[in-house]
Amino acid sequence: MSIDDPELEKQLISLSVPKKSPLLEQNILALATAEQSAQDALKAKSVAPQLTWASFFRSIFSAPQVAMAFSVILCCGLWMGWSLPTDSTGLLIDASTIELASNGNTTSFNYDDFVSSDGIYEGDLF
Amino acid sequence: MSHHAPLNEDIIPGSDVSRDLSDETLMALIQKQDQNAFAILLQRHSDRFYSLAYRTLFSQSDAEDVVQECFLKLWRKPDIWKADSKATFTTWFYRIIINACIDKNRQTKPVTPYDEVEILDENSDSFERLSSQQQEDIRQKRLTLALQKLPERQRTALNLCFYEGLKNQAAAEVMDINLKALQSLLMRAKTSLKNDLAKTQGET
Repeated sequence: MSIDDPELEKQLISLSVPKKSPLLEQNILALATAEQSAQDALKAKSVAPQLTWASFFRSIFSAPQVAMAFSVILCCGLWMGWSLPTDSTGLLIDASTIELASNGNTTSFNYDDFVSSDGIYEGDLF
Repeated sequence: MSHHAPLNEDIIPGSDVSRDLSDETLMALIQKQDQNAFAILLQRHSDRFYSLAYRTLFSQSDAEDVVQECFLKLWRKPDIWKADSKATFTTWFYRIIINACIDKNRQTKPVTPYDEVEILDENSDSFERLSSQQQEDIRQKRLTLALQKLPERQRTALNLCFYEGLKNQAAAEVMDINLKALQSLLMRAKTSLKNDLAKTQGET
């Protein structure tokens, strides 16, 4: 744009602007870099896995050795459960059952049959 | 692309971001958080935007603050630039700088760099005995004061059209006014300046 007044135009052109600080651009870039680093750190923090029971077990059983050991323990448990004594109906005998041998036959007596609910002996066991 | 390359003033050894890229392409890269593109854009335009801010605020530190705030805002929220906008980057960023200057002026007391009494002293007999450099300094101070006295919008119109060399239509877009309103602002600014300077020169 030209100013219609040459004298005014000359004066306007001559009006100087003090030089900006040579550090201005560096400061801006440094701040931008710092902000970027802070943002990156924040993002990294937000995606970091949180320890929950589910993640705990998942991490444990993801190890092949642990999975193998767990499988072995599970198999042993199943075998032991299969071999537990059963009564004539095939049901598992209660843990409080006492087994007695008589003439080579296995007879089961339930301990609870002889003990009252408050734990007092109520009859002859033998 | 190295998005997190260290930055320094002499950007960017080994960078694959070219200095020849247009502002708008650089903005697209900045929207992907490319620091090298940001550094190039900053170096390309910081002088220009600083000058505009200084001619609006007449304070070096305030002008630097405005430039810094605006560029950091651009870095934090690059999506405020709409690639499909008709405006060029510079036209768009002029508006951001001007708005920031207006905010700055509202926050802080307007700066008066020169004592008006000191300038009126040029009317004394001793003015003739001053060196040409001193006389020139006084003329600059007088012009600065005259510009400061202009209403904000008149000064902005003058800055954009005269100092920044924008065409009237582009300056009108920056100021979000129509062409006639801009021409009116320019006319009033020139008249005010002429009157103000003629008054003080007449008193010399």
